[in-house]
Amino acid sequence: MSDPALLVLASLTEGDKHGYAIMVDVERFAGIRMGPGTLYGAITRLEQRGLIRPVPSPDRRQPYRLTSAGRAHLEQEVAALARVVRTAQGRLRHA
Amino acid sequence: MRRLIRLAARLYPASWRARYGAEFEALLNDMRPAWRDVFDVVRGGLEMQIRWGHAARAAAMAAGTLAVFFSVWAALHDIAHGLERDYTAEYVGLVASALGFAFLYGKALRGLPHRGRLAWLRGTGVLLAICDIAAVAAMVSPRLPNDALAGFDLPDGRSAAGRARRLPSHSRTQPAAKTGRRRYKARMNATTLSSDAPGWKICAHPLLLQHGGIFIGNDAADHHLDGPVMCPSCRSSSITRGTMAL
Repeated sequence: MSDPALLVLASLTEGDKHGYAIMVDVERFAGIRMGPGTLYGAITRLEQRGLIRPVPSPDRRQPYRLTSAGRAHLEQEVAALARVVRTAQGRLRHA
Repeated sequence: MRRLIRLAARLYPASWRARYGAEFEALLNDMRPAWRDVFDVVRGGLEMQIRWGHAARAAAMAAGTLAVFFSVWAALHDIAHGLERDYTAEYVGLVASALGFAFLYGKALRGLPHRGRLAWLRGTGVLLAICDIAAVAAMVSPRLPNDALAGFDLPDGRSAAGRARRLPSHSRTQPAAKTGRRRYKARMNATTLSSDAPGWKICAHPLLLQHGGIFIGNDAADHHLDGPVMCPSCRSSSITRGTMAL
């Protein structure tokens, strides 16, 4: 699971986060350090697709929130990944 | 580093910067940027140029950037290996680089203040363009016919530098260039084919041979040669078959 968009969605399931908080969280749970260009590329794509939305903020740090469409998309992707993981694990056991 | 990333962020479309610029700036202030982040932002800028409907601009930027890397790499490769070849691709690269620079850096530097702490950055585009053109010019500079490439190692850096400076006056060819920690090389003329080792040449110029001991790394620095030689120890990765002598 190294797709930056999925990592951002997974991070936002925990709650609203701004860019730097997402970057730190992804590094913590996935061990992947996303660069600023990669992070904002993913945020831009996700917002355009309506999977996340900005939350009003008093300062320049803009928090984002997972939308219902984003949650549904993440559930689909995670389910697909889980199938791949289960298949790979099963085949590794018999290899 | 942050300045460099901010400069790279100017590659993003203006509409993108209007929407995300402030929070992107906030992110840069929070994080500890690394060198790879500069490339990450450049790549992100290209991606956004494409996504936000500026594919032609993105293509020009990518072509310009690639052309710069290609021409500099080709120049370094050519100089390091003493290769002689058709330079058509480099001329094309030079034109593409010039066009790419005109757009890429014009866009990147747009909006920079004419005065102040960042004003000097306005000159970087011109400087990079000059470097690129110089790299290509070095690559396409005329080569002496029937030339040879000599490599030599010297244990003492200062001594090596001094001898390297003297080398052109004897060889009357291109200046010696430092290619490694102790390794220098210089291009020489007056070679002849060797019947002992087909495909290899022998340097026969007396002035060069007089200083042959300098050029051959394993020999003592004061060891002078007075006749045509071909030195097997001079075969190295930086010396190509068919051009090596001495």
